[in-house]
Amino acid sequence: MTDYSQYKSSDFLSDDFFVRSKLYPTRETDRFWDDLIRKRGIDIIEYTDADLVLYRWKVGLLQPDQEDLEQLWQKIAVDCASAPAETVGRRHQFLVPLISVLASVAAALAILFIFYPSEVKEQDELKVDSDSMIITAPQKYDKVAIISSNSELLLDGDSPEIIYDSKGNMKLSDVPVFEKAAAEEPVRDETSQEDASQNENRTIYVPFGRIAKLELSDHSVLWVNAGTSVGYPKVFTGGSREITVDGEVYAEIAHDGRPFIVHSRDMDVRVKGTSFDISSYSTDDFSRVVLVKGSVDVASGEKVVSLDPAQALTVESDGMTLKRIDPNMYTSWTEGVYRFENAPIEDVLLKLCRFYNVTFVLPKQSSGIICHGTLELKEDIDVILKGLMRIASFNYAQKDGVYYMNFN
Amino acid sequence: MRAGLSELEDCFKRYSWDLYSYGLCLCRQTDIVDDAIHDVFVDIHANAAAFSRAYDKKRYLMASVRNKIYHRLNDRRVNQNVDISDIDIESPGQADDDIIGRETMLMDVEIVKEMVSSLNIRQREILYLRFNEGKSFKEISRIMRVQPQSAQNLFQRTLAKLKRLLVEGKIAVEK
Repeated sequence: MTDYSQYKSSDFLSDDFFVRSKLYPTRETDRFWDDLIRKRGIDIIEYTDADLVLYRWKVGLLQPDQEDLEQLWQKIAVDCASAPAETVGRRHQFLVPLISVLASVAAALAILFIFYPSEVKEQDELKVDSDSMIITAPQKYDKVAIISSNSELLLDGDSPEIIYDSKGNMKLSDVPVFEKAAAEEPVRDETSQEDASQNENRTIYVPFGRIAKLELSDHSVLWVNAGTSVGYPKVFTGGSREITVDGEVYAEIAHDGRPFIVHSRDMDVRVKGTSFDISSYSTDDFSRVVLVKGSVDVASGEKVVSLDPAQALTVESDGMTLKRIDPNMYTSWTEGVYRFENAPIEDVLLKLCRFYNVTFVLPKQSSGIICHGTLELKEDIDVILKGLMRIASFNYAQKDGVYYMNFN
Repeated sequence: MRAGLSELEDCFKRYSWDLYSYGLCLCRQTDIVDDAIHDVFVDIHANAAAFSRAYDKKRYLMASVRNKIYHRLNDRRVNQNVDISDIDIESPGQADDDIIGRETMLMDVEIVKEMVSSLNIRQREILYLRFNEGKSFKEISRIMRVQPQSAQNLFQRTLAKLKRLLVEGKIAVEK
């Protein structure tokens, strides 16, 4: 039998019998230790000390909650019953992420976010700032709006489709329409043909939180992303087709012999028949063209650059960069999916804030979190944020549609 | 081969408390532990072959939960436990006059929790396996994938640190 007389507390804790008899005490083990204490076969102080360490260790542990366990089982049961074998283990349906650390600071893209010291919690103060800072493309309408010189059409629905035929008649997908005439002007019937001869310019305004599909009179198709306005004529006349874009548009340009020119703040994109994505928000500090197929010429300042398919041209204040990319990364938003590769989480949140029309308050300092993967935008913003939060170790709190993020 | 749901439920009822405690001891974040246990059970449901072969079900489950949690923690941008062992926390509770003179056995639970938190993941794990599961060092060395002697050394170092923390905590309480 072991001689415990010289045991220090750490010796007791290293002793399997001691640990197990404290963990699973029986009448015999209790009697054994009681006898030793009575016979002074052990150092009572060391023995008590060891016992105390065990006790405190257990006090310091976090305990499961029985209710949580029951809920967890419910979730397991549901997922077991519903998931086919091959998709089992997929945790975040909307996200296939790998998050890695990048030490580099990526602050440039985060400029649209509100920078606010996290310790400030005065709600009213925050609210004022959020309004004045984030919605730089003014949220004039909360619906997709088609604006002409004398009328405004407001379209309901999250992603309405607007189609012009070659005569300039407009057809709408099955969405409720609210017509709002500008002051003192008679309401015009947008769908009638009498205006077709007049080549008025139109502006489509897509608010944050919406996407619209716009087919122009030449059968070119534009997907207009959230927070974007596009100026276009009802019918293209003259030797070139020209539109203006503030925001992001994915365009599939129909080939009709005339050049198609997209004007934006930093550049003009000149194409014939092609598919490309242009992102040029006046509130961003960069503009970007991604060519999917065909060819485009991008004129920015004095320079003209020709892009090949799967190339992206980024125009920033300090110059242009041309690089090879996967176009899907940049056009997937037209299908309600955002793909990211090596994207700072600030960039991901920026996309989300535009898509969901919410405001984020972030710490000014870059988090250094880099995201890869796919975000499905069908989910509720809270579902997406919770999923992101789990994998990217940040916290957020929501108050009145403003999300306060805290990277720890 | 898939495991029957009722069989799985029995298993869950039997071991989930211990698995969860173990998980919380490792990472102290319920969402990660939730996910880990969830995935372990769903995996078993999808493919029960390895599980049914396992002689010691609890050991199998603990190892699986452990793997998931370590995997998740490594995925995170910061391994939150890397450096914590080297940080000596200031004696907590010094500013709190209310707890002066309280019995040491009734130490503030929060203080003890904080002490345990200030151990790193491996330190917490070895104490858990030792004190909550009653594992021998040989078993621990297999679970933690270290030499038995390393497990012994880690345990002694961790114990010394825990006792130091407890003493500091005690001083703070009794002062």
